[in-house]
Amino acid sequence: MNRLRFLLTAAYRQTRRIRFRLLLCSFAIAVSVAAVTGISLFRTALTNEIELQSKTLLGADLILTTREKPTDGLRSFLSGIPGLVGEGVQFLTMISSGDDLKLVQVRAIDPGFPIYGELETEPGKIDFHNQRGVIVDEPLLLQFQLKVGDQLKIGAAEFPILGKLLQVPGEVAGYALVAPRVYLSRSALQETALLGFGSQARYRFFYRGSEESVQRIVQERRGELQEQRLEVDTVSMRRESIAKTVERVSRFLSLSALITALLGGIGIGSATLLLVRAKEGDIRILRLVGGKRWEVTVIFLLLVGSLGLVSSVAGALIGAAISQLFPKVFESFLPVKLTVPISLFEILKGVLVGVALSLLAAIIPLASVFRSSPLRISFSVSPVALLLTIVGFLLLSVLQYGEIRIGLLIGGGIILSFFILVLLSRVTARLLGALPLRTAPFPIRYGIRTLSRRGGSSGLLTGAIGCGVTLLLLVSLSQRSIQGEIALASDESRPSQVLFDIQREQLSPLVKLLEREGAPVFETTPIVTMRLRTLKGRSVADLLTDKTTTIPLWSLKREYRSTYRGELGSSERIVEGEWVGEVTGGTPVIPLSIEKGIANDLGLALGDELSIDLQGVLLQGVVRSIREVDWRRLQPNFFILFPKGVLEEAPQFFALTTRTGDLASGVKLQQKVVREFPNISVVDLRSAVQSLQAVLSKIGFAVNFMGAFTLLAGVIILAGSALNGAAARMKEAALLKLLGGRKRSVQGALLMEFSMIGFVSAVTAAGLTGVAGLLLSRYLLNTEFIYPVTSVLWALVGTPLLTAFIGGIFTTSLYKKSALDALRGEL
Amino acid sequence: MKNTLELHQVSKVFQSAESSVTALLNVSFELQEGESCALVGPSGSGKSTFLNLCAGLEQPTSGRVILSGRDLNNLSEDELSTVRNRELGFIFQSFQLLAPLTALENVLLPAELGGDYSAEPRAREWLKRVGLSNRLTHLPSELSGGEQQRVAIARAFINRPGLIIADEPTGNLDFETAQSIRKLLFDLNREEGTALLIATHDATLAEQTGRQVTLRGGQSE
Repeated sequence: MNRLRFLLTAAYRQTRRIRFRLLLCSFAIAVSVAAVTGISLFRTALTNEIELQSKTLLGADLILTTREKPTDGLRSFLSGIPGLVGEGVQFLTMISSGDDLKLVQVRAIDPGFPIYGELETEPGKIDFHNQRGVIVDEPLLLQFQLKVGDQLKIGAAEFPILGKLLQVPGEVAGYALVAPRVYLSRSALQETALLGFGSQARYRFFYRGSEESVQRIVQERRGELQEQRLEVDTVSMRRESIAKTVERVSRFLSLSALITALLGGIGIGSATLLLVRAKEGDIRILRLVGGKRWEVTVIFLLLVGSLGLVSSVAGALIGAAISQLFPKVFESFLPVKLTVPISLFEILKGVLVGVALSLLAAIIPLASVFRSSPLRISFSVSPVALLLTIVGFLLLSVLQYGEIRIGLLIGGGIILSFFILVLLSRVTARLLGALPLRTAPFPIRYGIRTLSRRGGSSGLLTGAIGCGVTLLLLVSLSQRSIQGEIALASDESRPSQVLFDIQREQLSPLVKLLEREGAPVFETTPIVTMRLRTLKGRSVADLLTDKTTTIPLWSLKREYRSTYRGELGSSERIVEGEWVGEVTGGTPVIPLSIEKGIANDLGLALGDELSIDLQGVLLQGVVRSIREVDWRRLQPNFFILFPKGVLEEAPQFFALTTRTGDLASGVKLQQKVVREFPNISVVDLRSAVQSLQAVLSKIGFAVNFMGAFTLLAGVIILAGSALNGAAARMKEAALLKLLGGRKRSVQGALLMEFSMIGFVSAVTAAGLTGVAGLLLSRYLLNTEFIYPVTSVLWALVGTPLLTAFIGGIFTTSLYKKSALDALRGEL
Repeated sequence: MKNTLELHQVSKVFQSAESSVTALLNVSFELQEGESCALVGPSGSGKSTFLNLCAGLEQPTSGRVILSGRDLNNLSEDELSTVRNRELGFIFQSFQLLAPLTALENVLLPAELGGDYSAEPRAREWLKRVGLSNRLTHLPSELSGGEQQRVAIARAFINRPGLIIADEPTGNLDFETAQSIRKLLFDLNREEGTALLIATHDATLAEQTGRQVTLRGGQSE
């Protein structure tokens, strides 16, 4: 007990005169813990909420959907399934207000739906079944400059707007940005006259029943459901698909938390190194007067642990506060309305992670203490300590992700990226140091020279700040890449409008109308709808109930819209196999071309067989080629491509691409088309890309929010480092003053050194953004790589200013000391 | 011979909330061009304050300090910097080289601070004169104590100042190295005609100067 008291007192004594510096450095851990705790609280709340609201996420226990207008036979089949509560119809259509047109999703429902939960509206509790009118998403009101109470024309009828739609159970608000939703009573749908000839509506039937009974229906009536070409949606299927979305959001958040944790670790690691260096003499004396190696190490271990504890408690409390912001930040991507309860368990977990991280980060400097002798301390990095630190970080990553493979992969990736950043920043600093700067002003030469020779600490520092800057630049790059699509859509050689749901009989009069309007027809594509029945001999129904399959559910359940062609389109390229453009009638096994991504998802390779249900007719196909499709071309693209000679007589509709001069003439054309052919939908690619951009800017905000955390941790490390190096810089400042340096030159030289730290970080981040961005664009975003030049320029100017500002704040006291006193060490 | 440095009835009192301490009291002093002088006295006798005042790092409470004909009391902070840069050279007990700069860059520093960006040949020449022509690109951490002090001496002389202030220049060196540094210092003092003011406890060093001034309790004896 006495020994422990002695060690604790000794540890406390060691902090004299440097407590503020130590606390500041270790506060980087608070930022990490804040991120980890905040994210953890948010994630737990989201998972719990989804579990709790799983029934409301679908709105019913079972939903059966068909794309064909239900016949009497189908209706009697559907009524025969127990628990039918009501039905709904939904379809895409164009609606206009004044000169403006917009593609919307019309959803007409019976009073019974949703069975669970309710549509959240403003004002609340709107009964649009008894009160004639519609509820619409806010983006539609904004675009048409309408307000609640105004009239909205849908097809042939006008409806008063009863309120704004806030949340539909199980759906994310982000959808509304692309095609806003309009809800109305199914009884009022007749008035719109939109469900006539050629409409592509989805008819949905809502059922109530226990999970077991629904499961039984799905299992027992599998064959009949398939025969009737009904899509099945159950609560458990919806839960699973939402869980995957949550998993993606949570993986992204964990990545930010881990990067911040790494920086927090660097912060407290630097604090420990500072402590050990400052106390080098004391450590040797402690050893000289009989202190054992472990005792001296424990003194410092206790110190670091306490610092970690104080910072982690602060961080966990900050994290709890921040967790309340997450639902707002991720509002557009959440399928449920969320409040985050503060859980003591999560807060304690955050504190524990923080303390563990602190001790982990202190391993390398404490290894120096452990290896100390009364004569000297070696500050060289012990390979064992380095290995232990890396292993510890990987363990933390695995714990954060809850999956060994993903945790190791991402944790390892972060460590590797960080080492690359440190290495790159050292190389950049060296290269800058080698520049011929003889005539450059003194502060610039001094700043560059000193930066390249400060040793390891500046490498760590530039690496840490570079991490934050890279993250922010990559976000900007992703946004720019998508913005590039607008430029593509404005290219005169490309179509600007896609018209779809065109019936065969409408094709010729439509083309005539387009000719009259001076809109050239680029391409007319027939579209045939179909479903997968078997894959490599296994029935899709089997695969859907197989828990071990890795094939995504949506790819098995979806209705495929395919086409047939004699040759490949401009956005396609064969990467494997051989393209077959035509077959003669009666070919038993049809040679198909499959898109690379879906082939991967379905596990299909060349030569694999599949059977396809073409509206009741079963076709046998074989994968003859695998295609790469440039999805960035916003034009009709397909997963499955048939050769000519098979589908010509199948029921089909058409899509057509055309081009109009500008957005206004595009709107005019849309109005004319919609007036003459109410079932045809027209999408203006230019405004579609703008809608997509709105979604992306929301994602960008969320990513930037997390990126800012990382940058904050980097800035704290910088502030800590400025204070750590204050003693050395104070002497330098005093000496420069003594040698005749004017106050401005001396201040300038020090500020230049800090700004060079920022500059090198930004240069390094700009380089890494180039490489990472290229990979990101090519493999993840599938967009053309566009280097974010403007953002990089901002980073190159802004980061040095930020680092100079922070460095300046924490070193202002240097100019106040008497020069000779400073040099004599009487500080 | 002209006076390089003059102190007229200089006093310095440090005021704090509770008390005031008189560090120097009515001290007068003159140092001529090329002359060398040792400032001796026990710790706390006011040597540091004396040097601070000579370098214009502190203002006297009363009296005047004149360096190379300019009254330091009447100069602004920037003008004082210019005077220090052109008229003064400093040598310290603990060398005080900038760790991130090479030997050559350390010597160049006063010239560069003064806006002279073409002084490299001169800096090389000075390093050659102090016997370090083969150590130009070495960092201070790669040099011995004696070598570091030689770099400091070259740095002090590069702008050909009128006065060199040396604060215990041999205090951190072994006997033999101290002897060679002493020799170098006085040789340069003679060759360059620069006045030399040395604060020291080293009797051998003090004896080699032209005269000695003893400070005790803030007053000269």
